[in-house]
Amino acid sequence: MTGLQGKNTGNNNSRIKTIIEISLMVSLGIIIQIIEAPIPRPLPWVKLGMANVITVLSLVFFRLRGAVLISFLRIILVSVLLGSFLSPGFFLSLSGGLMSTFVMGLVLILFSRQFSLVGVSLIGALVHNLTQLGVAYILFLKQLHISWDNILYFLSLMLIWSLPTGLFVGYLARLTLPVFINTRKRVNW
Amino acid sequence: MLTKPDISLILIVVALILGCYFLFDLSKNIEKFVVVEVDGKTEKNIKLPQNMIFDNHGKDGWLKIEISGRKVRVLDSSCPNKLCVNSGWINKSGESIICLPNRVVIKIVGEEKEFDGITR
Repeated sequence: MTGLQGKNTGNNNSRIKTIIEISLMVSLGIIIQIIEAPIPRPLPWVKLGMANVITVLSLVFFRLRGAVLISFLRIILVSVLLGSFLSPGFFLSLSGGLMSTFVMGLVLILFSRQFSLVGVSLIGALVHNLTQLGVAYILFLKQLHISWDNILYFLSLMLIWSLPTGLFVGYLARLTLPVFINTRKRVNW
Repeated sequence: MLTKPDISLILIVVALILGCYFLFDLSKNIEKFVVVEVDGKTEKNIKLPQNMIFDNHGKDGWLKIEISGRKVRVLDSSCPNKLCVNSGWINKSGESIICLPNRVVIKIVGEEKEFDGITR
């Protein structure tokens, strides 16, 4: 996979293939997220985030730039479809999604020998939640003068939920990775 | 399978969670009291945390109040509609349970800041 730069190969075909594959990943992510949306949650801010399986797999197949593009498109399109576009929650999920994709990509580039996909996904879940908490603090909580023990409370909640969800997403990504690789081989285009 | 860095990462996260809870507990050391008022007069002022169940008389009835750690509820009451019982637990300063037929107000008072009333 050469990434997005079709001009490197000069091959127009591979560029089109890349675009199609990226679109497929975006659509898969959208479908997963929309199926997940109506499932009841124990707490309003707790979400499994199964679409992040697609983000992790995108990082494997399309590297940093492709994956950031894929999660960017997915978050925008899902928010339009679910009607939360430009709402406060949209900015939280956009910042969290892009930041976690970026950091996971960096980890995969720098420490791919050390961390498995499960570890990478756990790092992604942590970064996702911490970014959201930071952005929420700057955008909303700061004006409310919320005391530090409340922030600490949110932080501990986020850490607690990141652990199982991050591990689960990473595990799913590892389970489905061979399926994606085999499908790509079988289609053989 | 998990690699060694994976496992150490998980352990670090678990340690962070425990640390957060420890700090959170420390920051909760602000004193709070349960105040029971009958017909506007303060009958009891109990410092939290506390574990006890006691009966308190109301205007024409009684209430069975349970204090467990930092939270309070009405276990049972002589009033007909049981709104006070259905209010469940309260634990934040400023929260209250009101039993109108018995003229009883149970509230938590303390220094701790809450979300309400801090906006400027």
